[in-house]
Amino acid sequence: MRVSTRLFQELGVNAILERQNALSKTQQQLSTGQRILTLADDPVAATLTLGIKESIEMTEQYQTNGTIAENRLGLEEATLEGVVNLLQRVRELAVQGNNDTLNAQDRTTMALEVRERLDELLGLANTKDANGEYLFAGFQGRTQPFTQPAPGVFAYSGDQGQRSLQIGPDRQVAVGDSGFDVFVDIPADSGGKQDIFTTLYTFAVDLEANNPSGVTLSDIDLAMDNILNVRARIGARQNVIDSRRDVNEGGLLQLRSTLSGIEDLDYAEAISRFNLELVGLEAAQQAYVRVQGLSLFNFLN
Amino acid sequence: MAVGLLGTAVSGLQAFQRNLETTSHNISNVDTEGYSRQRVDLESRPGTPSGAGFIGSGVDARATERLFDDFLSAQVRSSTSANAQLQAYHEFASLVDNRLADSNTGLSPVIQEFFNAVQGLADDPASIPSRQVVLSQADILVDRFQTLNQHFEDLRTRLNGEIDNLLHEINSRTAAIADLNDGIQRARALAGGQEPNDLLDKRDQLINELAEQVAVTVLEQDDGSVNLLMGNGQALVVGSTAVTLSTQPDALDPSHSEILAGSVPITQSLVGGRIGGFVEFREQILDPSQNALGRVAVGIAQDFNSQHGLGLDLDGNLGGDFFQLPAIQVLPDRNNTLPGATVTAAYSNSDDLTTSDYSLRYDGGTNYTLMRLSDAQTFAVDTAVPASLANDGFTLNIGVGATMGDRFLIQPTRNGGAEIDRAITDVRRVAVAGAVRAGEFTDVNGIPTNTGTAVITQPSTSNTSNVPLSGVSANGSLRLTFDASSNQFNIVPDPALVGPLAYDPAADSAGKAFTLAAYGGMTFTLSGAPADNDAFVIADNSGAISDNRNGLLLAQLQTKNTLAGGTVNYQAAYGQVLSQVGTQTHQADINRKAQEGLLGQAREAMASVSGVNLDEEAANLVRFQQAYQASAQVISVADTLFQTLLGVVGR
Repeated sequence: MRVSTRLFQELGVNAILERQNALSKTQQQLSTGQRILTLADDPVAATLTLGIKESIEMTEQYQTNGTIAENRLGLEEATLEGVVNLLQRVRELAVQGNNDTLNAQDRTTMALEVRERLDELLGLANTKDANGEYLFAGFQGRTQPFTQPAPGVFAYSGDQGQRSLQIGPDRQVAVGDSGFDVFVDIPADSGGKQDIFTTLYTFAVDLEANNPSGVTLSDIDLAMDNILNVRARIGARQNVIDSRRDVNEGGLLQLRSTLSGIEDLDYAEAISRFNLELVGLEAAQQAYVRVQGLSLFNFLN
Repeated sequence: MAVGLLGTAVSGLQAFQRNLETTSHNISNVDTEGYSRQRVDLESRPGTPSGAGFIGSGVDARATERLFDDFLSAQVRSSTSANAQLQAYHEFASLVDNRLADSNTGLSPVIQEFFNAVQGLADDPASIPSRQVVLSQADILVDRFQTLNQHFEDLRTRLNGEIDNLLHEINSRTAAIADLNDGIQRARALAGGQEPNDLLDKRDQLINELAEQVAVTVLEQDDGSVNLLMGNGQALVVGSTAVTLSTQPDALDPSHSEILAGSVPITQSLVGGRIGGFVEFREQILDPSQNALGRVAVGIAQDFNSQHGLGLDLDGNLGGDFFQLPAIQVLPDRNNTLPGATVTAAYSNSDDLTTSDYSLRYDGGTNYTLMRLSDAQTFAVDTAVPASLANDGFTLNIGVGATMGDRFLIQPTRNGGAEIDRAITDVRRVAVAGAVRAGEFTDVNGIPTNTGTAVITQPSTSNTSNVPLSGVSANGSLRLTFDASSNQFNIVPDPALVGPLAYDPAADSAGKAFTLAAYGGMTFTLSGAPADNDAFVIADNSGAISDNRNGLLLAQLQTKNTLAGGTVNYQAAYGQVLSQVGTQTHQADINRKAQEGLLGQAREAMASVSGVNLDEEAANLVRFQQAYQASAQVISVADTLFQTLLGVVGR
């Protein structure tokens, strides 16, 4: 088959251009560390990486939510621990108060402490978080939940709502309890419901009247039980968050390693390919030079 | 005798001189594009009869022919067209591909960041800074949609510009070919039937260049001219007349150009070549991708607005529109009879939107035909019965006054990316709280009075009928009181008459769900065992700055499958576009490389026949030079013979 001079030239040059193109692409891969430079390089893999990246971001967001949930529950837990300690002290006073060896003066002194404790309890129940929201007001975060409109009358101005956070794709966890559930909705020894503040107030009044009642101790125990139940629930939620966190961490690890496997360049393979292409380019260039010098006109004169 | 000798020798000289001239012509044109090497056809002169037989009388150069193969030329031409088409398609497809998938300029990361901001707000609903972040991220999201859409628009403009340029080039080439047709005819006539080789080469080169722009079929005519046809038979050049191509905005969709031959629209007839590649790119990649981008925008806007409207903002008001919803574009055909009918469209359910455009045609009477352009699926519309049509996620409102044959173009998602915007302006108006809350009935001091063990869950609403409840209840709440004698909860007040709610403590204590369709469609569950006269209150959720229930639902929109008939979420829908564009670009690249190979082979085959090889020409030079010298030598011998003769008979 004949070869035209012009095409001969073109083929030689094209070969060099092609080698340069391949070399340039490998060079880019090496300098960015990415196997996939554009979506068209490997559309299936590229779309996969998009999906994986989204999953990673979502899981990281869930981890963030989990941390916030832990913080909030931690604050609630610490506050309730203070409440329990307070109630234990009041319980001691209740047991003491029933002792017949005490006189009216002793009881009046005890009543003073009980009233102090009552104020302290009100303070704890009206705890605010770092953002200035009341912990125990349900959804009414800017409304002080517990007030004393009249001596011995306690009012709850929050609602019965409970906030949840999303810690997994189908998992929400409550991050608070309403003041209603913690301090108000407590059964009373004598039937019906009685809030914790009224219990302490009645105790103080009884002491001042030198007439301690046996019911007080039961009411305090019922209140303590309620708080302990809430704390147990908090503990359970914290466990859920912990185990969820572990699951998420495991998931993230898996996703990141899959992503790396798809996206990242195999340097060993790329470098050996690079060397091969370098050799190829050099060979093409040298072959071109050698061949283009040959012409019959060189030998005619 | 000497005359005969001389004549023969001179004929040789002339013939070889012609050969040398042709060889020189070949050598000079070794690099000329489209040149076919030429060869002199030598024919021996008829011999003169004599007693000793026929005595030859030399050689004539009969014709100079060019070495050219029509079949190979046609192969090169068709490969050129195919290659140019794939080249153009791949070029533009890469532009879309690179832009969409870039992790810095693509859409997926900003969707993620927006929903991260919503999650952040759900984590801390009372925080003003968190709300500000949501608004800022919404701006970034909207901006990215608009930027990506603008990229598509720019490509569209560029495409139209390229088509314009192409048509100019085509026109100039066809004019030149038509001229050459004329010139070749005349040159032939002048040369008495000899082929004007260089003119033919020039014409073939022009046709080849034309084949790059658009695929053409070449028909040779008896008089030496060629007719060029394109596509399905549309004539481009007939004899010495060239048809002029021009553009005008398409009658139905003015965003792209329609190509006219003279005054006849021929856009559909244009196949192959760069122009074929452009048209294919626009139909297969540009339009569907821009529509798909718009669909994500419409989906996010509509779903987010719907959920947002169910929640309460920081001041206890129902949420308004968070995003500005794009509008559906309905374009009447330019050729419709004025004033015509008014057709408008609105979104019904973004779940069902497709990425196709639609055309509506009036068939007379009350009959319209709606066609989905992606798959040519038609739907019949009878406007005698409701004047609006619900289909594929949008409803049409068709007025009266159309003339038969009037057409309209409906583009439900084309402008989604351009028109989406943030509508909310006040950070306090971001609505993340639930619309209603529930709880046990309590006295004026908030102390509960129920004696049973029943509990109620927080209700979630699905619409805003009779919500806020203050519209139907003086104190903004509904009280559910249990009547043990009839095992039911009575609702007070109950203007919509949804109650009483049957509840059997014995059977339903594990939990029974209720939906009050007339009151915001609210759903809640009652469980446990209520005592007689125990009550629950469902109230407007005022002052609930710590409530994030609606925020959680807004955040969950990110992972809900709400597009493409409920099969994919926003990022997955966008990912589908990316995947499609990437695959098509990849495919085009593969095809292009294959076609390049084919083109290379065709060109090599043709060059093997028509190409000039300098070494061969060098050898020819030597050969013809020797032959010339030999003929010259014969003349010298003839002269010597004559001198000898003269010498013999002279005194």
